[in-house]
Parts: sequence; structure tokens; C-alpha cells
Amino acid sequence: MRCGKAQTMINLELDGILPPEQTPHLDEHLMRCSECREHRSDLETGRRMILATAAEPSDSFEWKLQLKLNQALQEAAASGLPWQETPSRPWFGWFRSFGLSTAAGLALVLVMTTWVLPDGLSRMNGGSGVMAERSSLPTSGVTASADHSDRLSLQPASPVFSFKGAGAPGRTVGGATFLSGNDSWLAGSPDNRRSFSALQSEVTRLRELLDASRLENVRLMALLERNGVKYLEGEGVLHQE
Amino acid sequence: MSDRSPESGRPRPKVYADLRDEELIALVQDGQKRAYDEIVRRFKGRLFSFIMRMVADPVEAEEIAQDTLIRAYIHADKYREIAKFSTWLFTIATNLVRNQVRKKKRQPYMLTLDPAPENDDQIPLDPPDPVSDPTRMLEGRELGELIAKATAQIPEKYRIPFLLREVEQLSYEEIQQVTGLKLGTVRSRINRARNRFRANIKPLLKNESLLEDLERIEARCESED
Repeated sequence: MRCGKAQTMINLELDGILPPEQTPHLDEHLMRCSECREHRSDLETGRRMILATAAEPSDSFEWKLQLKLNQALQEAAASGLPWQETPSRPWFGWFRSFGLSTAAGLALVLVMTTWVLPDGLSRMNGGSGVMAERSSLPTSGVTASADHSDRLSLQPASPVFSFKGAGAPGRTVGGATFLSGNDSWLAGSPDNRRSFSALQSEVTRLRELLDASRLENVRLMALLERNGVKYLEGEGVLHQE
Repeated sequence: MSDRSPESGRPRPKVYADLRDEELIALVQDGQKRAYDEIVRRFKGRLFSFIMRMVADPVEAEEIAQDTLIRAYIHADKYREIAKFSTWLFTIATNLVRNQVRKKKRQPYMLTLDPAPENDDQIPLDPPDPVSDPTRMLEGRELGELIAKATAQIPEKYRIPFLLREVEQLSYEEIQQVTGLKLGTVRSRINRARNRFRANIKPLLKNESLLEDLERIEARCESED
């Protein structure tokens, strides 16, 4: 038997899966080959060394784990989604760092050349009359601008969100007005901005309140679980286990 | 309190330590938190030891081991008894380790420009661990560091199946499940890793004092068992 084959058999023997009928062949080879004997002895000692030097976690391992677990459960409850991480995609790192910024840059240039710059020019030329004229246009699909007959202006087909007091006619829902066209938010007055920031802070406050309630819910459920009480959600009752 | 779990009607065990891993995770699926505590007790050391040999950083290793156990809890319902629980758990750990290693490779090497402290008093000391026995730590420290170094020199793709075999004693089939490699590849990678490891520890095998250390550690472990 060659040493290469014997060493493969030594590996199988180490793993306890060498077929019994092959053991005498290996033993015979080891009797007369000191190199393979040393090979086997080294592998055995190496394994012993690995097992003997197993690292142990710190004493704080379990309470840190408990803390992280509580946090993960709270996050899962707050988001209302099952706890999970996005799978790692190696190509996405490149796409995120280079591809996305390139795409964003190109999109910005496109918007500037086809949308903002013509509007800016028209404002310089025609002033607020353009806005009044445009808001009376039908808003379905992409419309050709009257003052730029040589090119298509990319007017959004859906209404743009604006706020009460913007000065242009529109449909008012809950204090906010939906206007046709895109000029209303481009030309927001200080009043609009104040209303917007007030509404934004109200939304933030409500969101925080909702998050706090969810956390409280998780805490209470954990308390019930610890005390062996189950909340039967469908029936809305507490059940002692 | 009832002797049966309300969800499955399975009897509620009194001694979790006597149960198989697969029985414990089934109880976790039933919502029994104490079964999970037993899983943590059983696996925290094994996971930490395995991960530590992969990332060579105790803080990082603890974090990954904790993340592994958290995932096992949160996704407990996804475990099916078609594989051993330990195989499932080490699959989670291996994936997390691989992600971490990949992330590290992408990060540029940072060189600190902070000036060195003027005297040794400014160097922060780790707080002493009140539980650990200092003589015990010293006894295996040199050997532990040398073995960690020798292991770290094995390429990652060989090291994972090698450690799963040598440290965790998983079978080739289980390693195949954890790594997703073919059986023949698992076998050849373990053999290659063993040969590399042997070459790396060759100088240690002639060091009498280290071999004595090894025997002392083994004797102590045996007496503790």
C-alpha cells in the first residue's frame, strides 16, 4: 500500500468510519512505515490539542443574550413583521456603493434637463401665469406644455400633495389640499412649510405613542407568560395554565 | 397548573437536562421558555468555541454565538426534525460566521493615529473575572494561543468543515448539511485542513513543556467530568 492511500485510511480511522476489513491492511502498513505512524500520531495529538484548548464564553454571556433577545422580540413586535435580516448579497455591496449613486446621478440630470430647468426658464419668462394656466389643464398622462411646444414636459399624471393656503384651487381633505401639477410644492409659502412641519411632528408623536404601546404590550405578555397566565386573544380573556 | 402543554398536549417535563436536543426545541416551539434556557446552557460553550476559532476575537465570537441562539429562538417554528438540532444550529452559526468574515474582508484596514500612552498607568486594564481561576487560565493560555494561531492559518473554506469535525464531532453527512458541500468535497477539505494543521503545529509537537501542559489540561478536564 502506498503512503497516500494509508493516510486517507488514517483519516477515516480517526473519524471512526474505516471499514473493519481494511484495518489489518492499514496496521500492516503502519508497522513498516514510520512516516505514516508519525502522521497518525501528529493528527491525534493535534485533535487532543484542539479539544483541550476550547475557549469558554464570558460569565455575562447569558444575561447579554437575554437582553438581546428581549430587544429582538420588541423590535419584531414594534415593526409588526417577523424578525429577520436581509440575506447577504455580495454583488449588492458594489451596487449600493457605485451602481445606485450612478443611477441617482443620471436620474437627477434627466430631471433637471427635462423638468426643472424648463420650468425655471418659463418662470423667468412668464411668471406665475404659467402655473395658473397649467393647473387648469387636464392631469391625465404626460401632457405637452404650451410654452415648450418643441419638447414634452413630464408632468406627473397623479395629483401632488400640498397644503391648505397654497393659493391654488384644489380638493381639500383633512386640512390638506390636493392640487394638479407640480408647481404648488415647488413654490411653497412659509405658512405651508409651517403647517407641514406641524403635521410631521404630529405624525412622529403618534408613531412614538404607537411604538410605546406595542412595547408595553410585549412587556405585559412576557409578564403574563412568566406567571403562567396566557392571554387568549380571540376570546379576550386570561387563562391560568 | 396543568401537567400538559396547552398547544400540543405534550406532557410538561420536570427535568429538562434529561431531554434530547430535539425534544427541547419541540418544547420551545410549544412556548416553553425554560426549554430554551436548557438549549442555551448546552450549546453556548460549543458555539462560542467553534465561532472563536473562526473569527479569533472573543467579543465578536460572543456576539455571533448570541445571534445564533436568538435566531434559533425566533425561528424555532422553522425547525423540523429531519435533521439533528445541533446540525440546524451550526448551520445558522456557520452562515453568520461566513457573513461576518465576508464583511470583514470588505472593510479596509484601519490604522489608528492616536499617540501611544505616556506610561503604563494609562493603559486600561480588563476588570478581573471573579469566577475564573487564574492558574487555570495561565495553564492553557500559551497552548491555546498557539493552537488558535495554527487554526487561523487554515484557509476559511477548509477550516469550517475541519472545525465542525474536530471540535463538534459532526459526521460527514451532518457537515454536508451544514455547509451545503458534496460529501466528497467535505471529506477532501477535512483531509487538506488536517494536513495543513499538522504542518502548522509541527514545531509545537516537539515542545515538551507544551505537551506536558496538554496532559495537565486533559487530566483536569477528566477529573472535572
